[in-house]
Amino acid sequence: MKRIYFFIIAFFCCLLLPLAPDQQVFAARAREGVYVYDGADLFTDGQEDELQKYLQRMGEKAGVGIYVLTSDDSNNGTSDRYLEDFYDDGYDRDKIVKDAVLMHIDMQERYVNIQAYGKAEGKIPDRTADKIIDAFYNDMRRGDYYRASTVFADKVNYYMNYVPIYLRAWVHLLAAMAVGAVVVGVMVSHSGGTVTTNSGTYFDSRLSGVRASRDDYIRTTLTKRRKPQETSRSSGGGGGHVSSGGHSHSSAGRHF
Amino acid sequence: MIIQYKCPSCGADLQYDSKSKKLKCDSCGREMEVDDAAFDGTIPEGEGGNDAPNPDPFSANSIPDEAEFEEIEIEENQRSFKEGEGRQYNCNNCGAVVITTDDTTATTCSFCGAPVMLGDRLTGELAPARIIPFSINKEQAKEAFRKWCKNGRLTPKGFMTADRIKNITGMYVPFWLYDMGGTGEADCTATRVRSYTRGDYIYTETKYYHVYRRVNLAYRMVPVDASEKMNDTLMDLLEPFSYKDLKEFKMPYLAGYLAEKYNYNDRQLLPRVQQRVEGYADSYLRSTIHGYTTVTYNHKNINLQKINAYYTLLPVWMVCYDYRDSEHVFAMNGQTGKIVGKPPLSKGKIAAWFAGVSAGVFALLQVVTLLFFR
Ligand SMILES: [Zn+2]
Ligand SMILES: [Zn+2]
Repeated sequence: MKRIYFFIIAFFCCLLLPLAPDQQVFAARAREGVYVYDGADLFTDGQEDELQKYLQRMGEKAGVGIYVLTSDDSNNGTSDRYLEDFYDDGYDRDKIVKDAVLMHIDMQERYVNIQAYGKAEGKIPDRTADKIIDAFYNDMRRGDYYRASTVFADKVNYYMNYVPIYLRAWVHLLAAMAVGAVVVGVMVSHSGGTVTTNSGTYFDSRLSGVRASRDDYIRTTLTKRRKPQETSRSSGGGGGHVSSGGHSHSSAGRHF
Repeated sequence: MIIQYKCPSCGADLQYDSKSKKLKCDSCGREMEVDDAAFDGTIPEGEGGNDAPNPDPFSANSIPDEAEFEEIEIEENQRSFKEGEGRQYNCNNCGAVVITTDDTTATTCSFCGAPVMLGDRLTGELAPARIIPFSINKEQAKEAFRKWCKNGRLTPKGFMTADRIKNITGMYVPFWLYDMGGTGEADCTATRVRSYTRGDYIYTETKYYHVYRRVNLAYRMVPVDASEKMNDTLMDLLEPFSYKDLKEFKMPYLAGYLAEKYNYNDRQLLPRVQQRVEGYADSYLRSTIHGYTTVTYNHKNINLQKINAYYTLLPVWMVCYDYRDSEHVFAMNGQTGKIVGKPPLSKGKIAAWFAGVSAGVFALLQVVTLLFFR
């Protein structure tokens, strides 16, 4: 009987396993950072304060740093380069959260750009970054940069916490119980002995055999259907971009 | 007509010994070939009035263990009057009445323990054609059964350790072994499906074929249990028996064991074997059609007939086992040692296995998730 209790306790311990507590460590650190760098002065002072708080809160939930940068131009480079340099510099001086999603709004080019670093790179690959832009693109065109920035933060939070159905704990629990039921079911049904004869046991192969056999082709039918849209799911690989500081990231950008 | 085999040296009763495959005398150790004994045995010793079959209207009452045979009793009563069976046999050694049912063909004298064969129930149309002698003796059977109990992963702990084998009986169960032969015919529409991509489209090409097969079918010695008492499912699970040990029937093989005669003749059991062999033929016929994606039968015809049926005695150890006031019956193949029968199951162990397997799989899934998807 002791074994039974052991199994049951082990079973419930496993339930608690996925609740790993590295969130608190991150939260303490994230409270100090600056998340809004409004070089192009797109936000009012009040908006800037609100946004700073909002990005901080969403970043805590998402477990990453969420940064919004605006500038009048990209320092004579590309927006990609601008963000990479910002990240490299922040990384070297330990001024930013290493797992980060950055958005840059370049007002000269009217270009918005997103890059994701660290563990965010896997969760938000190029394709997902592009989807995030979709979500706030209309706000951006209308010039509502504040709203666009909050939507950006919302979406980052959503994708960082998104767990595909096959990775959810309750799905695993159901699957595990199904396997358990099948295994036990087989054991119970086998406990009384199993059939160990089959159609070959009493078969006399010397006297049996095929006497007549025909395989006649009749006709062919052909149907066609359109190839489904490429729906390759987000891979963990990220985007394959690397900053000059050696930090790999994913990215997506668009003119507005 | 009672038949007993006597030791030529000391006069004690001989028993079939599965190890030496000979008749053996327990008193002096003398052994005797089955063939020799069979020849001697046909002339029964001590010819006397006792051996003459005399109808006994009270035979049913003379069965001592009424509880056990309650159901059979009534039937026997009816049948014995009808067919004039229900007769009394007396032991040649001690003269005691040998306790038999109408089906018994071999047993031991309950008084002196001598193996007795009821010769008149083993001759004529009741003569078995073949027999597989026991190759597992009582001690080996007990040992194998104990081991099997211990290995039961779902059986309660007490069941595994307790030695509660109430009784273990070696019994020759009557079977019919059928040789079946015939033909099978199938007319099908089959398809081969192939998919390929060209441009923006996926093309599915389906080629249709008309498939025809005619096969010869032969199945050898398919066993069907011919005893009314025996559970058909249990007996089917005992298979397969290895026919390399199949012998021409001789009465001495029965010495020391229980044996019964068939309750159903080969014609009565033919539907059962036919149904079974048709299933086999079906899968054989299907196996001759391959290389297709789908096969649909338009017409199928399997025609199997009995070629031969051999009345055969097969060795079975019946084990009665008491556990928590209920009796569990197991059967062991007396040739191969395969054991069948529903053991008691422990709810706690079932729950433990379920929880254990589920927890293991769950933990594995979680670990894989943590390692590869975080
Ligand atoms: Zn002797
Ligand atoms: Zn006796």
